[in-house]
Amino acid sequence: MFRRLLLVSLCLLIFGALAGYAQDDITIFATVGAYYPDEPTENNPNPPSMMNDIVAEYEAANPGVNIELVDVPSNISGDQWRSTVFNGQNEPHIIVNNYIRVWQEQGNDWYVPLNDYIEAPNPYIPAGTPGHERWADSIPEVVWNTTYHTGSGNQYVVTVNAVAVGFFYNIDLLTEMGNDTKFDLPYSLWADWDTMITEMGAIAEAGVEPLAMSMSTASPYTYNWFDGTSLTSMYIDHIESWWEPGATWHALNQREFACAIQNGLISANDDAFADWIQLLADFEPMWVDGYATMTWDEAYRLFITGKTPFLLGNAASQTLNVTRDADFNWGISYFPPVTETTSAYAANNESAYLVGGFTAGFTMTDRARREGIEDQVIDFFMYMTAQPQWGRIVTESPRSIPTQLGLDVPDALKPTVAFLELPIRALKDPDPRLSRRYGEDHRRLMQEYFTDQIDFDTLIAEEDRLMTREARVVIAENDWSCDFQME
Amino acid sequence: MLRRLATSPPGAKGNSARQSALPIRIWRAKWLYLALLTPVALLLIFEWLPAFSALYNSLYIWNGGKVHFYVGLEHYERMLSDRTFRVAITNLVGFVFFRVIMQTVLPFFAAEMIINLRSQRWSYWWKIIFVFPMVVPTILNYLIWRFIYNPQVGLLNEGLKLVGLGEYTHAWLGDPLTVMWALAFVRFPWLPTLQFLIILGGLQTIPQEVHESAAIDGAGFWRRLFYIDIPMTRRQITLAMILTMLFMTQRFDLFLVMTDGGPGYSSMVPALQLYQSAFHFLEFGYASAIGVVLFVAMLSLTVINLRVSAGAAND
Repeated sequence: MFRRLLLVSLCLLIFGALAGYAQDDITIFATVGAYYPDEPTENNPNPPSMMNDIVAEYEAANPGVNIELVDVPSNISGDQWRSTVFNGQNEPHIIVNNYIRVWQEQGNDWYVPLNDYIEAPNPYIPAGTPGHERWADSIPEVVWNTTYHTGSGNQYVVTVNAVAVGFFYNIDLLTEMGNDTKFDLPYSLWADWDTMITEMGAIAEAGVEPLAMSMSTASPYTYNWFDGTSLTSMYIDHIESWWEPGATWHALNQREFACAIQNGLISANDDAFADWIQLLADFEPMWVDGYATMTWDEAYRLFITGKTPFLLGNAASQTLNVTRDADFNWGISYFPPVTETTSAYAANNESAYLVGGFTAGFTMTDRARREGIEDQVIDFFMYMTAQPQWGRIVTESPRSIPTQLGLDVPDALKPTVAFLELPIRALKDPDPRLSRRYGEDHRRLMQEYFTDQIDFDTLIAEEDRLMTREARVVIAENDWSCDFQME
Repeated sequence: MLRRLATSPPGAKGNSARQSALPIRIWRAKWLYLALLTPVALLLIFEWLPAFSALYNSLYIWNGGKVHFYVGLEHYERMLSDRTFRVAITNLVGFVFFRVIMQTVLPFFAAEMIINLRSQRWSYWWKIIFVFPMVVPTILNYLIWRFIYNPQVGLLNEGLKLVGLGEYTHAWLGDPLTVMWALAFVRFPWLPTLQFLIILGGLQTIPQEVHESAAIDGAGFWRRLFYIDIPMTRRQITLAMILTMLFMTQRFDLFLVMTDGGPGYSSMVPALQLYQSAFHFLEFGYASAIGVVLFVAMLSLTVINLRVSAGAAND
């Protein structure tokens, strides 16, 4: 009797195990960027945790589907991490990435085009809310226009975040120095670029370094923001002729910029280019000593300890930090426009340009296709980014302005909404303009010029060589035609 | 068995007898050879294979992904005309030269001081003090030095202001004229543990009688130093110099953490350029070519190192 019982129990166990195995659970790995539910630390005592709830709800509603949130290690660059996981075919199924990086990486076939999926209904968006009938409708057209121009005609990214950069300023320190600058424009303290330099120059003359920022090649983004927005202003009369046919105002993709170089529509030998270099050289004395090797964190500490009155930073995520760390009154402003007072080439320029914008979004990776689970992955993708879920995520942790229609702007980020109403800069950071190598070599050349290692003529000659070479490489690698600009 | 293998007199039997005995001897020592297989296999996989795969990849354009095509020696040709690589080599030569001198001379004097201490107890504690930095994580050291050089709140500039030399404050890492010197001074006073122990070991092998005889003949400290200690530790000094050269040539973490090669290219070195080519620009082929050049340079230095070590052992 006992033996039979044992045998039956064993059989049941084996069947149970086989049944469990046959059920074939699906595990979807996903990165969620700044919303990863991290453990609390001294520097981040209240990390976001809403993603845990979203995942738990989805798993409860979809038995057999497991969601694993993946934290990207902070000790290696995102580029390095993606290179490693994609080449090891161990990439998560969903990855947060900057659409610009996706442009640059599209040749690797790492990402699945989402063109058909975004045309389909999103069942997780309530009826009557934009996106229920057609997922793409949940996000404004301007966002799609910004992230669409990949040169390949494919849309790889669903961008649910909008961010702007800005000048944080220390009101107490400026008042103490007798500077009572008030907003001259709805979004900026200064009416134009020259006024900004003049006012910062007065602060420098009083013995205070005006602007905390970084041009370190390890964290160069704050320099990149000046670079792209001012170059856009200097070429305002020409940019439309560089667009692909039928395009409206947008951030130029690599193909458009590379072809503009190849077709001679922009060159380092242009007078406008020389004026642009001069504009940056006039601004450089306002930057803190050591900016060339300073990290952004070091620049941040200078501002937060009251050593500099201005800090250039991400107006979304850094707003949270400044709110937490500053023990002085502060405000946030934006770049002023470059106008004819700075250069004749900007005579027709009327606006400042948005840096940032609709940068980071979600992509579906080729792993979903390899494993044949695209439908399940896209289902979670739709669930997570639908307004009811995403609204809870950004309400808990307001790190960026949600792009989905029907969601409110978190209170902390309302001052930056005016920035987001500016037109996007047509010429982006040096890296996405052309290539990562161009970006880095360009910054190093500018550093050499600013630190008097090379003269103006050498800079122009090296820039010309660099732009020409990288344009040729990018066009050849992607097998692009540049005929569209000649028509 | 070990002892028997070691003590078998060579040439005790004829050649044919030795040859026929070889398989038997291998069979008898099979467990030793098997035990050796694991480290040899690991060495092949983790040391030799990457080195030779770099040689192979240096002949290709490879983005780390599917773009992979043969270009022959193109990367090596590019290296010859690469301004960044030229600057990197120049920086490296200057940096290595300075550090080799400093990291040999100062450990030598530190070892000399310890050898000359009469109290064994103090000698022991001084050795502990000199060896202690070995357990401090290198990255921590770099971060401390970054703070020392910080132009606004760094210890160096604050110290200069404190002693009335405020006009000499500087962005030490942000100025192309000072950045390589600033990097060379990182970890001042340059007492690397390994080199210190090698030289100390050498000094300890000098028989006490030699020093006593020199003292009786009236030799003072400097005469003893130049006529006894330096000549008798020549092998150890050379080894310490070669090791420093190898370590410094491979070093890229210092440059990555402190300056990332900037401002401009003024603190770029080949190892950092290799890293950036591979992981920033996904130019694994070019990075491999730089790696091969560094590998050849270091292999040459290693061969010298082995010969010197063998010479020291024969002495």
